[in-house]
Amino acid sequence: MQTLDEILAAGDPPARDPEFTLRVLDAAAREEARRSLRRRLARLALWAGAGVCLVPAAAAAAQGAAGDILIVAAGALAAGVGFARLMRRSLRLP
Amino acid sequence: MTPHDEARLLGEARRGGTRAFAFLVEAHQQSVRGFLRRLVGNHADADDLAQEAFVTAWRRLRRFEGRARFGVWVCGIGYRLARDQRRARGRAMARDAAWLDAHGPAEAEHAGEALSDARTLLAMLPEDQRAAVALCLGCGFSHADAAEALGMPLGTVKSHVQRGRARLQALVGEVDADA
Repeated sequence: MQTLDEILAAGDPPARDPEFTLRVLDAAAREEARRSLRRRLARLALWAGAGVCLVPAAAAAAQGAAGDILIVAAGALAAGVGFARLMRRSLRLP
Repeated sequence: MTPHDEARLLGEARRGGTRAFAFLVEAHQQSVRGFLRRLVGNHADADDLAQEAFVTAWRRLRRFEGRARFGVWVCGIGYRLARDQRRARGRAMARDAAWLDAHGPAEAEHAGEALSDARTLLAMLPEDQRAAVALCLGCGFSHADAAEALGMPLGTVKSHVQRGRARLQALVGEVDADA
């Protein structure tokens, strides 16, 4: 009769399974490609977000609203920085 | 693999060296896959989880502090992935549990019959106990390594292993020599 230790020790996979290693490396490469694409999209979104935030400031400047321009520009800047930080955190960018 | 070799390979892998990472996967795949096979029961599911654990490790390599061995760390990642997967399948599991309750627990099915299959035996233990038993008795990890991998206090792991062992011995029909 088998002892408990013998039963529990049985059924281990082979010490080295090159096929498993290749599967892991392949999955890691695909993950790396996905992350790279995500990074590129994030950068694009950051630039687009910053552009959108600058629109009100540009519009105010075009209308010659000199008094309000500082407030609008500061608001746009704060929104841009906040958006960038949010994107960075949510996409876990370095 | 010596700790020195492992540290060198980890350093290379952190700099993006896939060849170094492949060596690490080769060196630790048996313990990670063996542990997850014992924990999950189904070999195909366990191998998928092991693959996911290694890929997660590759992604988080820079965050690995080296407090434990690389294999212990990956086993811990695999354990958490398996737990998350089980939770995600919670509803189906609840249905299965209800079915088992209605048709009698698995243990009752085998009453009086000595069991000799690790998968059937381990399935009868609660998840935490099964994980501790699989690591310490199946894969030969120390209690301290198992505690690190499972994120449990050392005393809890020791008690899980002791209780799990006693329960399994009763199921196998083996008399505990230490008792």
